[in-house]
Amino acid sequence: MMRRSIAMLLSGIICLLGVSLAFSQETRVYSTLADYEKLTGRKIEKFSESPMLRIKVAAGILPPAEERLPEEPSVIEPLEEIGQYGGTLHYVPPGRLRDVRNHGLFMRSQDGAKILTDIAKGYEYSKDYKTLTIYLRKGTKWSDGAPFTVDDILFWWEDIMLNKELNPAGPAKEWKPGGKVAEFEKVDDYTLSIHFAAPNPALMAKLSHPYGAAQAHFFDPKHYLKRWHIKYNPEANELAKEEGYEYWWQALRYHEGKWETHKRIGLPTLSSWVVTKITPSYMVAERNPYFWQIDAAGNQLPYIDKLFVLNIEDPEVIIMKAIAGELDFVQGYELLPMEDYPLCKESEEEGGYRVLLYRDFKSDGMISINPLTPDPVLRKIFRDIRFRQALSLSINREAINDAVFFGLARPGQWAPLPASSFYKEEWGRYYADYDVERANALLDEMGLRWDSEHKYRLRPDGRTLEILLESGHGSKAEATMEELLAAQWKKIGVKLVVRTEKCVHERLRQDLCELLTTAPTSTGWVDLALGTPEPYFWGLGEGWNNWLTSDGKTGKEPPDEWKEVKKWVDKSLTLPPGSKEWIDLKQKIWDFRVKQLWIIGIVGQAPLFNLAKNYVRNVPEEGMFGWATGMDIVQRPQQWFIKK
Amino acid sequence: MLIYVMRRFLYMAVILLLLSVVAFIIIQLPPGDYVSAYIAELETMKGERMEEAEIIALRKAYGVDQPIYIQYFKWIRKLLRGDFGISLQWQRPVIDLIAERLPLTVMICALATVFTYAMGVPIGIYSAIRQYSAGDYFFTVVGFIGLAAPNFLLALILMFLFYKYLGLSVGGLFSTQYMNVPWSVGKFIDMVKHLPIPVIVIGTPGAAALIRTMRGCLLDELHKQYVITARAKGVAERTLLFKYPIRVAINPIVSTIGWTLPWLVSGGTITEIVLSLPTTGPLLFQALLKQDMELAGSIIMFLSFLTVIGTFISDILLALLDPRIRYERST
Repeated sequence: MMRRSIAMLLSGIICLLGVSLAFSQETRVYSTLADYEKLTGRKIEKFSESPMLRIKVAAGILPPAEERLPEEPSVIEPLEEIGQYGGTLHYVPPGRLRDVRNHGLFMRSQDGAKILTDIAKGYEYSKDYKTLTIYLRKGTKWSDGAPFTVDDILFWWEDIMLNKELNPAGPAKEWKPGGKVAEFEKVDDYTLSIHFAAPNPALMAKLSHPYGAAQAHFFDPKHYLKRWHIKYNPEANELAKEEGYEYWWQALRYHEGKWETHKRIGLPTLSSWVVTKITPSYMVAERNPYFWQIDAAGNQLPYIDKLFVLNIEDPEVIIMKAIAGELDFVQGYELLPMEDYPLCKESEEEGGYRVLLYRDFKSDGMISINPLTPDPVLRKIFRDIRFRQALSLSINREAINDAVFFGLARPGQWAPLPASSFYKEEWGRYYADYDVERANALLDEMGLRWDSEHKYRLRPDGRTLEILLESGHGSKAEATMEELLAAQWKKIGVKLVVRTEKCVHERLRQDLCELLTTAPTSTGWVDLALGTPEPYFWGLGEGWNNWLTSDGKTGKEPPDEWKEVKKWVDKSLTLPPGSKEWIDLKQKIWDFRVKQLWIIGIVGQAPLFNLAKNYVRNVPEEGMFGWATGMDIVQRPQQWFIKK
Repeated sequence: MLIYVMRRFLYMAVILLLLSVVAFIIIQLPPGDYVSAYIAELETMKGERMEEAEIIALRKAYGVDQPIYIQYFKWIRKLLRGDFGISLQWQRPVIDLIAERLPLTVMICALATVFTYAMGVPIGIYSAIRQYSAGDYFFTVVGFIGLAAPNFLLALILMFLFYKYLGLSVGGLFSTQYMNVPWSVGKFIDMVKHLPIPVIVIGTPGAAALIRTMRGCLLDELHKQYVITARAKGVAERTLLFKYPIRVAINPIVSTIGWTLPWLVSGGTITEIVLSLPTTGPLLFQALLKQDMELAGSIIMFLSFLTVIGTFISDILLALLDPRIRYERST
């Protein structure tokens, strides 16, 4: 049974090898010790541990490594070399501590194209994709030493997800294929089967994302949390009141942590580091003595003893501190603006760090056009495909790439990533060349006349064709880009009014925007070959989007062609990812979606950078980095080490 | 005097009540609420849209589905019982959040206030007596720079200079190696080394303003006839100065001394964010950004309370200091 799931994984790896190896430095991980020994022919005879833990074992505070590790630990072949134990890593920013230790049952490869095992050792779908069986490592323990079993998953499912008070909306869609809530069946302590009413091959794609598992995690430490749960503790309400809450579920919600497990002291974890101290100015996380992974030499991971996370928010101060050599690791995602890249690069020697340049799955370089714009005249213009084509043709993508991203992003149309198995190259080029003449011809054809001074075009009602462009994120890159766009679109007679601060969420919800840089939900320009729910309906205005995602229960009814697409999308979720039918259908969907141009791509795969001290090793020097794969976790921070 | 004090207390209660309404309305003014901001954040994180049912459930869970006035009454009722409520974004009791930041905040801002008066008053006096001297011009320029330069810029420049020339670690109150260790002489020295930047940055605008006020008020007095008379009668210049005009000129400053109370708590929000200080300013800022009602509301009410109390203390001080005011009030 196990063999099949591994074989499946391997075949997935092989078929994607061509694209993924080209731009990623992937750490090799073996799902179990047995796999490692079989595949490499090498043997791991004994386990060793950090000196910090050895002292505790000698003092009798901790059981020896053999007892702390699961029977089948996961084995990692470190990126560069077997690391050295010890040390404190000074990490910034605080919000990302979550990403460093966000281990799930499964994870994604660095390029986002594969599903890998992490805490779990394997999974298997039944032939009809109606049953998913998950295999846990026997003997995995929480950071307090309590065993981690299927019961912890059942607690999450039955007592949290299905609890009306904690989760009034019930489980998300992916748990209800065919309209029926999934059934969890405990086969034994380490085997869980989930039964669905309809084929659900898309669920694994979600489970493989540390944030995408719908409701944050997929398991909770039952032994620790049950004292706050009314089902296990009839006095839970009194306990909650003592702690300052009104109801038991508020207290449980706090202690469970949801998205913020890195801010809960005392909460047992399966992650590499356990948070031990939180103050307003810093956080400390210490190694988890029960971590379930070893390196190829039998050393229990992580290598680094302590994370010291400084609570600094201001990018200027962070850069200054980095140059002063006070920080070991800065995760720059959506924090360090690209315009500071030259400064950071220049000061590499002074600060003793290296700038690690990665590519994001998305970029701020896109425009979404709201088909539900309140102004009826504008709305009519927007809905004319020729107008959207003209807008796209009149963008000088190279110029924007040079000015905003130092020429490091990839100019092109908004489309799935090349790593996708169903990728078509033509998508990236669709109406993406710079051709002002053709754009003007399209607008002339539409009958949008110029004003008397030939400065701007006029709308059918005689007013100047003026459009408001707002920022989805309010980033500096967007602001520069908006100014450039205003100048570029002036050439086709479109008067752009830009608003550079972040667009207020309510405006988005009510469809009050006209144009927006970046789609309302930021993960644009993404599709992974995994069968994840993709941005099929983004940038279609909230009204249509809601209608399509809620099966017509809310929102505004879209044109029939989109209802057709919705059917294809629903169908694609029932097909096994990577199968021929699946690929054909995906191509059909994206052929339609890309050519609609409701989202116009400018540049994709935006560059971003992290800083790491020269002595911090086993950190990939290149590759993809972003939400699509769960940020730092994909680099396997447990293998980072401080080289003496 | 007693009746006066009691009447003032009554006014204070009414003012605080009105302030609570205003604070509540202001926090609610931006479109949306905490949950809509939270949803936006979650959606960015998950990279997909949330289902409508999920949103409704969230709104209910956070209690923002009720009409505004009901939310207000629930909040104010808790507040009157001394319960500050629970912060939506931190999911922790507001009182804890404020308490863990308060000591440091008060320390920094108290030092900044001392700095403000220690710099402002003497320099103001000097500038007034030596009007149009080189020193006066110098301090005028410094004062205007202090008033005009944005705080955060001053903070960044000072931080850079201290790092470059004194080798001091950037930002915060402690070097990294001292952060997670118990108090020791080394740690104390380290803190003392870090204190000048926030104190100077937060205190400078106040000091600059004070120089101008002190100088102006004193100049007004210096040209009055009683000063000339005293001088004509041969009163020593120094005695004269400190006994009469300065005591009068200091009145406007005393009347604003009470306002430094709320300033102690929220004084240099922007500076504190730039300097990465674990104080209440950044906490309030975040709470307002995220529309974290109970946290923002509590801090604002707390500040309002301090302002009202501060003004009250100012009035008492003034009455004690200046007989004229005392007589006016007793009639």
